[in-house]
Amino acid sequence: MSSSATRALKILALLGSSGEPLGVTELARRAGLPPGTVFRTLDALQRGAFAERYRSSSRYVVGPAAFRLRQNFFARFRLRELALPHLLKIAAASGETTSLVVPIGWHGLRVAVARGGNEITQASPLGTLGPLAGHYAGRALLAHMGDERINAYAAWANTQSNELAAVLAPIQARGFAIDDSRAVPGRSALALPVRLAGDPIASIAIEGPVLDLAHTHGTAAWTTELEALERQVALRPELAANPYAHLDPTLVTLDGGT
Amino acid sequence: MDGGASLSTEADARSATRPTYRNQAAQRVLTVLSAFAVAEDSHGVTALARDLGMSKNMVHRALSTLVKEGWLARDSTGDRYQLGYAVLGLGGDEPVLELGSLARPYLERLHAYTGESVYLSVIMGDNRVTIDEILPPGPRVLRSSRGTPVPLHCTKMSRTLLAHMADGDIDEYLARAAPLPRILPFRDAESETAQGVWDDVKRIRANSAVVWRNPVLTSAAYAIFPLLDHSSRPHAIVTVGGPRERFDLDRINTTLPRMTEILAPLSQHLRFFPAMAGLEEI
Repeated sequence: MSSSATRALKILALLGSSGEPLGVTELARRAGLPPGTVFRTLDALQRGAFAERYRSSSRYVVGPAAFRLRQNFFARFRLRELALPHLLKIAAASGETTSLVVPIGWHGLRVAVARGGNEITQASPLGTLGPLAGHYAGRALLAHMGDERINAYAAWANTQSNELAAVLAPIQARGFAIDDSRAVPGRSALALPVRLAGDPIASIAIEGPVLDLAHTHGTAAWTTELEALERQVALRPELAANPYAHLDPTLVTLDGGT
Repeated sequence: MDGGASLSTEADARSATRPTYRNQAAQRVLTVLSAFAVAEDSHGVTALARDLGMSKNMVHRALSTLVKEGWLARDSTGDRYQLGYAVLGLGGDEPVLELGSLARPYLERLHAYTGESVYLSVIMGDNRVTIDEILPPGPRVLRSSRGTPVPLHCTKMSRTLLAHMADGDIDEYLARAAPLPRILPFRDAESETAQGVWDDVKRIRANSAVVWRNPVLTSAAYAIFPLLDHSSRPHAIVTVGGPRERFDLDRINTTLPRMTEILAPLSQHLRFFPAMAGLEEI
């Protein structure tokens, strides 16, 4: 394997994961490489539009080719084509940002977002949400995956199976997951699993305090859209295929993203 | 972008003029990675080698590096390659699609090339609304003015947006709009019945651009270009229209390839954003 190739990918990853533009010296320090080497690598990255100078300064950010790669990754989940109209309807009706979350390995990945009309809204960028059990949209998926996969997740996450089962039991009973962070007392965001032949393939997260916890049966409006989506998915299951489902989930490590 | 042109220091200038042989492997890997930035699901070694003008061996080595580092992954067939999850690390803030400002330079180029009126229109609710326009001085066509809503079944421009919506959404729209309001001052079979609308939708879908002269109002002609997302949902249309004496169907057909070429970068870029069916702009 060529070291100049891996250096280029390393610098690209450093630029991509940095929240700010980086100069050659800083990149060299982070990559553990001589500044001259970093400079030549940046030249190669710039030629491919993977990097560009930040506002004509001496610092660099990722370029348009990097942006296109990332957008193309999300476009690979064709389920979002079916889901977007339903996300838009839920977002319009609830006023809250509504997302489609799919599993990738043992992580949740937000692949589509419809912004709500409320004045206060979540930023909700596309990208990873972290391990499934760490976010209510991921828990809505995990809770419906069946005991065997839940136990495999627990082993991967180094969590006690019975502790995880206790977290997931109310979600299984209720049919959807609520947000434990409870930013608004008595109210919660929620996530509904999208199923194909019983298997959870995604979840729809309504990312604002739409649910009155004293009346949790009041989710009919959302489940109508969910059921409409599930009917479409059943008719076109090829669009629901997860392009990364064949990978060993324990080997999917996502430390980038958001 | 030209990295060499923006180099500033003397040392930088020296490195820019130096042969890049030391970075050839890096260039090859980045070239192969670039091929995955187009809207195609997966790639095989043979087609990549042919498209990139590289030997299969070189492509294979680059692919191995990219897979090992997580930038690519084998697809479920095991023979082809798809994007890997390392690209998720190319984070930063999610870019917001500002269609108006993104499209403006392309409208200006179309106007400079044709000298005719150019419009950018989007779906808002159940209507088409023109959100930007460039008009030439002197005699010119004047379509619905900026900001005026026109129902999605009425006029060829509106129906070009409607035609790229999903079949079910078109049916839902036609049910909501029934009985179809007649807003044109003359009989127009294509906008007066659901069947008429569907017939026209099928005609519009058969071509990548609509070339149009109204059989009743014959004084002007138009070229209408849909801008679509990855799953062919409509973001917007760009319309170029002019008086028949200088912009008739013949001239439009002659200039169509160049107009398409002018819009190509915008068209390609918009494919990376899911179309929000107009709700976003409300």
